[in-house]
Amino acid sequence: MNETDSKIACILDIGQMLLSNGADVNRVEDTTMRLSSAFDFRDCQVHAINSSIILTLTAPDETIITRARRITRIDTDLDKVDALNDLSRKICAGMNDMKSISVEMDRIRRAAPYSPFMMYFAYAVAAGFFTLFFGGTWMDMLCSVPIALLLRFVKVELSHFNDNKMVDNIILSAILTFCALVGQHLFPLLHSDLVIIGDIMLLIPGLAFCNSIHDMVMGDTISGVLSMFDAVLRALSIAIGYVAVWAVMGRLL
Amino acid sequence: MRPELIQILSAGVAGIGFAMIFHIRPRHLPAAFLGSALSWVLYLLTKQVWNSNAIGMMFAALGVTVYSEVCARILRMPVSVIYTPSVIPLIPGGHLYYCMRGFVTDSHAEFVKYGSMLLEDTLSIVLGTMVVLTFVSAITQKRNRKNIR
Repeated sequence: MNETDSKIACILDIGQMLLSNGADVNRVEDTTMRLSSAFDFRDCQVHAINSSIILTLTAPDETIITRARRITRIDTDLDKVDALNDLSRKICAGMNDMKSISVEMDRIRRAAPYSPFMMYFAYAVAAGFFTLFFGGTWMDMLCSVPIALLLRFVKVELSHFNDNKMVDNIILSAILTFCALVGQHLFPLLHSDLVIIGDIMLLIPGLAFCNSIHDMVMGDTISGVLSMFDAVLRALSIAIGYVAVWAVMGRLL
Repeated sequence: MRPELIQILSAGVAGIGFAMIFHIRPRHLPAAFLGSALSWVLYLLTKQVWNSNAIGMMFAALGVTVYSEVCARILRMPVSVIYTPSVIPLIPGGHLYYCMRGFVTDSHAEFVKYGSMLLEDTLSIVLGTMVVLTFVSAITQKRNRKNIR
């Protein structure tokens, strides 16, 4: 790979990593443009949507180059977005040695601010306090915590063989509804509604929704509509899981 | 403790939980706590003054967007890192659930009531956020164009 190719690969790597970790499209296009001019390319044309990036630019020796990248799965990791943002700022400020850039990229790829144990803790905190937030008692909170831990476990296991977020959401929402209804059956003092709401907050596609607003306002209507529709579909799949379990359990209990 | 205080505090702590789920690094967690507590304080206050759920949501979203734009500039990081956990308490999970419950229990009134509230909440959040972002993008995009060319 010659110098030009490796620079373009680096620009696309950063763009792809930004998109697949939950950055909004506007930021991806902006960063790609800045990096291109920092690497002495001219006339950068970039088009990004949630699932792909297309980049055309003119190299210093006047050849015109086009490359594309496909993004298949989006996992929210805003720490990587933040770190990539810092890196691209450094590159624009003059750090253009490919070796140190790739070292930085590797470091960002491996970095994880929280251990798997802490992620379980985060799920428990988020679900427990949302149950409290929506008016649950301490008992409800205590009940939604183990369900949240179970959801995290199932989610990790599912990610090994399933890339479809809708399927994820249907299964997870079915599990949480089942557990909450059984919980209420065993302990009638529990409010299964509030337990379910607290745990459902974990599944709601908040980031897709936020990004879609951002994209639409910033003029990327296509990406905005795509993310909005994605958010709606995922909310619907929560409903599917809930309705399916309720239809069966409502009869039995 | 008063129920409002419990709500505000639990919104803040749940915001921290979500920030961790989104892999936001530990030193930015206080900003997430403040943001999500702030969003609920703003909601409760404006709802009290105008006596309207929609306006409360709108102003809360508006305030949180301003907060996250300012924070992002001070801490030098992407806006979504602050905005996403801060707006979480406004996301109408409760109304979504009651709407679904109305659907399965064949209670038409409940389904329509919470379904329309769900739509109302969503629209208000979008509106509140858009008002701020339009101004921000008008200012920053012009400046950016100068920098890149």
